[in-house]
Amino acid sequence: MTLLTLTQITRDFHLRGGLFGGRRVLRALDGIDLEIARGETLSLVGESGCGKSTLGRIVAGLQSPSSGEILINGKPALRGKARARQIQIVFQDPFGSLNPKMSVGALIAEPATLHGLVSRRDAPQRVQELMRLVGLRGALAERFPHELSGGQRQRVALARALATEPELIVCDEAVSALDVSVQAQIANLLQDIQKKTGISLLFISHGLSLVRHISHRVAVMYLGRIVEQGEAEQVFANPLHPYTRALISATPEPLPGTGGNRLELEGEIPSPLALPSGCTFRSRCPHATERCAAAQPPLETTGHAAACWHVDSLPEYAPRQTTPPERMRAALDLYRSAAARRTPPLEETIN
Amino acid sequence: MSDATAFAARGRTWRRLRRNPMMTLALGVLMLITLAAILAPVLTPFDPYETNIRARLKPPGDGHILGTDSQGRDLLTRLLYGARTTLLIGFVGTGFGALLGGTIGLCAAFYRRLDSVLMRIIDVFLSFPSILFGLSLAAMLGPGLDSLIFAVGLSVMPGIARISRGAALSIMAQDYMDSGRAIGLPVQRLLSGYLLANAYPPILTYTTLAFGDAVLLAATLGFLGLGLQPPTAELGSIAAEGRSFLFLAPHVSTAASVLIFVIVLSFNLLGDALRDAGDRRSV
Amino acid sequence: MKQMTISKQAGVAAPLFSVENLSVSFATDSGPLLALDDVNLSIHPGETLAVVGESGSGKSVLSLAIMGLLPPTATVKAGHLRYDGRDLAGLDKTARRGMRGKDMAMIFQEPSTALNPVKRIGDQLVEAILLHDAMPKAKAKARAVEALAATGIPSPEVRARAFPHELSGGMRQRALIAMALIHRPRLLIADEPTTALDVTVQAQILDLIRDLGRETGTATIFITHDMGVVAEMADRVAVLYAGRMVETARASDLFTSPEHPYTLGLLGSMPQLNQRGEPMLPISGTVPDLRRMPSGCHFHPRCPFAQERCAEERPGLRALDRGRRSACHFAPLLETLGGQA
Repeated sequence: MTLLTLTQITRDFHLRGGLFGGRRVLRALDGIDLEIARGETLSLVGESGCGKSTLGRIVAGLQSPSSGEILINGKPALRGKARARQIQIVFQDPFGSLNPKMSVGALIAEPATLHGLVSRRDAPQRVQELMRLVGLRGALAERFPHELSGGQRQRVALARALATEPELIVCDEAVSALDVSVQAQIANLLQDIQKKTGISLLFISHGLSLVRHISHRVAVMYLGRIVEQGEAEQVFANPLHPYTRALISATPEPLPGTGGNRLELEGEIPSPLALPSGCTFRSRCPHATERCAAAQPPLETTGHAAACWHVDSLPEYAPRQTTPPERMRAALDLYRSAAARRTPPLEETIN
Repeated sequence: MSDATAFAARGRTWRRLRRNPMMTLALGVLMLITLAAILAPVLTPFDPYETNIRARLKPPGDGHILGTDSQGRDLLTRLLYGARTTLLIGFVGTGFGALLGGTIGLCAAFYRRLDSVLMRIIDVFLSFPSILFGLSLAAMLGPGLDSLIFAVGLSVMPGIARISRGAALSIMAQDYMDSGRAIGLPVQRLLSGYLLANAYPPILTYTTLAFGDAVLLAATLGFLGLGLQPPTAELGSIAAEGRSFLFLAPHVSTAASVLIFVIVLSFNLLGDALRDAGDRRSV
Repeated sequence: MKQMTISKQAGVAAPLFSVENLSVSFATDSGPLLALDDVNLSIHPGETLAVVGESGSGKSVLSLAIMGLLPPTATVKAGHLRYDGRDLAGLDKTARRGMRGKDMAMIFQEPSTALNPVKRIGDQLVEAILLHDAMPKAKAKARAVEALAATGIPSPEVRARAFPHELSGGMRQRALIAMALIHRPRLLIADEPTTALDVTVQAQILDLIRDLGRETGTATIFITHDMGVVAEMADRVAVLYAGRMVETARASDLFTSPEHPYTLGLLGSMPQLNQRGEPMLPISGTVPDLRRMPSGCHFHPRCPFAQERCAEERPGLRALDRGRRSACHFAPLLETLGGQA
């Protein structure tokens, strides 16, 4: 079942060029087609300036597209409060995304009472339920955001998002600012909540490793366009687009002897105000030909596909070695089983 | 580390405020003067308007703590009643200016489309000297308490509008504003519970400083004879009255001027202390 | 690089820099806070030592202590810093300042805040050059452009005239690296230099730091929380937790056989080391408040292997085979605990 359908979403920003310059147009998103199914995690990956956050904000209703169509459950998306009921968003910065003047309890209760999902009298009880769902001790409801750690704050933000009982949560770099061990906690939590509630997630990230771990499908963005999309497993096992390959190759792996021998991109991302003609990636692509300058390569919207003229003629993909050494795996297994044996689980006793 | 520092930041502002002796002194002086002004009818047995030709320009002492003025009225009584008027103009005028300026500033930050229009209007206001402003308003509306309050309010308003806009803009950039919009909050709740609730500290500081300016402006207008007309007691006009007898009886002008000075200085000290306490960069 | 490590193993070279029993505490409103507790490390010329830890581990305090840039609220309670055989504790402020930039240099996480926003990149470099080397200005300018070129900045003459905000994050970080390396310091401290950068830019910067270090024989202390970056960059690794060093080993050994539960937890938090779709293996709980440290082993409240002994007895950093050291009562983990699984 398709929950969200984006058709030809385009977003322009009008910039004034200097004191006497005319107006210039920055195209942040260029003809995005995307679908998210119920209970699915779709990840948007790409580097800064690729438009992934703008797309996330458009989905959450915080910005409107310049053109294009958004359907939710097959119907044109509503705005304001009605959209807020269906789609929520969690932001990157756990220190800036919670109103510092409100207690944790008030922060979580606010959306629930606003949408009439719970009466003011029953709100405290609902707050406790939501806090339990995100793994927070109930006593923290009295606290204020500045008294919490980054991970705890992100859990509060998640509980607040869940309070409107939405069908989709946009996670805009929701774990990127956290410590690695806390990232893993929150990622586990997201998966756990998805299992319990069947909610869909739009997971926006600049890093690939977590995306590979938690998403069902992946869309890779470069300069306002989707350049590759497909099932996460396929995209990571056999990336088709040269940009996706470069991204995967640039991600450091926590394994011995992985340094060097990377597929490196030449140069820098071009300015979005002066995009190359045709395929926007061609200025940095080792496989670019004249054809790439002539026209923009199309992208199939079904299955695993890449927007590249040379998909069929690219060299065979050589995956990197990713198996951890025997002894490390044994030690990790030991840790895992010891952690599982702890009663009550450590995580709950401490948060 | 960051957690630890955030933890320590709690309540730091208030503690530092209390630790600042200047601030305690300024607040004490202001409270004393305000209280005395309010309780003037109880505190003094004299009538501020009853003249006594035989007791003109008496030096301090002999039943009159601060002596008498050119009409033979008890100077301390006049000053208490004068402080009443001046503080009233200051408080109500600044309050009116803060309300108007704050609203304009917040709206300019919140509704970006209105921003340039609102701020150009503010620029126009700012380009008039406040004395000139009060002068023309007094001429237009005729002298009186209302027009004086109006003039004082309008003259402190542009500064407050600017500060409010700046403070609100930095809050608008915070994710929690978007978070509020994302859960579908109505505009009035976003403006009050989210924007104002977080943007107010610098606005409050500036408004405190503006009190001082407002009192000074009210007194200046009074001194120039554009404020309230005699025999109404007002600090500026008392000082002006005394000017004619400056060599004969210097205590009249001096006492009024010192009182104005103390009030304005206290407000400025208070504002500075608030700013220091709230300024995170000075940690 | 490998050869150097081996020769060092044989005990030939003396360390370029060492930290001995360093303890640093901070005065806070609510009492003193021990940010570093008896930390030891040493680094040899040409070597890259990764210091790994999360927020609150004390890794940034360590880098500031090494640079002599601790804030006035910090007190060095014990320990010595030794550079090239000299004890830095005996040096006054002026002497320490003279070392910065010349003998030891630092690159920061946020390149935009480490550069002066109102000065052209080239002028900032010239200023840095003239600080330690007297030479005609034209010559210094030429050297600044050379230094920018060495970091792979395209058209360095043009970029030298640019202001920091006119450059991308990656370019700014390159400029900062050029500035740090301008006097060929023998010790470079890189404090999360790629955390704020995109993945492909991060890869470029990591290569740059490694190549320049190799060329100049600079010893690099690389501070990071990303085990992937550690695996790429480090010859040796020191893991910090809550102000204490919990494990140190050669990188190849650490990634083959981690010997402290916290190191295991950090690795388990890497999605790459978990089965897709399975829950990951995070470290439970949060970093303790430095003012209310747990007794015994600081990690015991979060450790799945913890026993009563861990709450009572502080484990020392014990030597294992191959020069590895772990501060866990149960190291080597597999041999001690493997039977119970």
